[in-house]
Amino acid sequence: MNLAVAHHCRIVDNCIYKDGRLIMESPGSGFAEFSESAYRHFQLNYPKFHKMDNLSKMGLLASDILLNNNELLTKLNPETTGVILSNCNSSLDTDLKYNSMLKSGVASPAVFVYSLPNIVIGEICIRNGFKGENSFFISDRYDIPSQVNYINQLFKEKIIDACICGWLELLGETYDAFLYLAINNGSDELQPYQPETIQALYHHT
Amino acid sequence: MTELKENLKRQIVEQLNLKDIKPEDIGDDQPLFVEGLGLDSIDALELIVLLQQHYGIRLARAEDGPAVFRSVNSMAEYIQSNKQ
Repeated sequence: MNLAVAHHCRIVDNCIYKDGRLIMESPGSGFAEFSESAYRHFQLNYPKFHKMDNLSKMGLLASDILLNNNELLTKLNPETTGVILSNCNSSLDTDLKYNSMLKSGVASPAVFVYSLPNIVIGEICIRNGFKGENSFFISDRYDIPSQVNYINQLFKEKIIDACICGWLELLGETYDAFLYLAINNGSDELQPYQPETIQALYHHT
Repeated sequence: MTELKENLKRQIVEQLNLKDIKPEDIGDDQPLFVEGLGLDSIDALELIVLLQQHYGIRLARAEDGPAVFRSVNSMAEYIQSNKQ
């Protein structure tokens, strides 16, 4: 195995970075306005985006940017491309909205369906046709070593041969997305897939 | 009836977050699901909520759903015949 990090994307503080380079900035806007701007800027052309909750919007944006214009995408086998994500507040942002709706007496089914954190994984998989292993872990902080070790094991057992991985945290106007694409058979030019690499990419973007 | 249909189109666009569609783009007899507006099963549930929220009408029999929500025309007819 030659595991490597092919690309990474970060969405934080009204900025979007791909592979460490700032590719969009929209200062002063709330997440709803910011995500709509990003949708138009990157021409997602995916009407279902507008129906998603904010966590799914952020995950879809990050994964689209991660995979967009990416030659590797054509080489990914959808059957063995996994999605492994984590955050600390689960789907609490949407849970609170739904709870507020219940109190007002009008509960929206379209909001209810997003009251689980792994729905964002489903949205990413539907968009890209991925059918590989997927899980969403909840932990009080981004535990990079555990995530990398788990994904390494999936590679070793040949359950996956590529994986969208990372941290996807959103609650109200506080959000932080860091997604990366881990692949097998990476070239020597790519950074090796190990906890130290992910720590450096996350903390220096 | 015309006013009811115009209101329905506006409410459908708002409630279902159809940001790329204007109310006036929806034809009175245009199918709402699959080949028409492309609505899905969650949208169907939202339309049931819309009927309750805006018109105080509960869909008594689930099996009536496909006929009631076939188009704006069918929804308007159902509202007219069921409003208190």
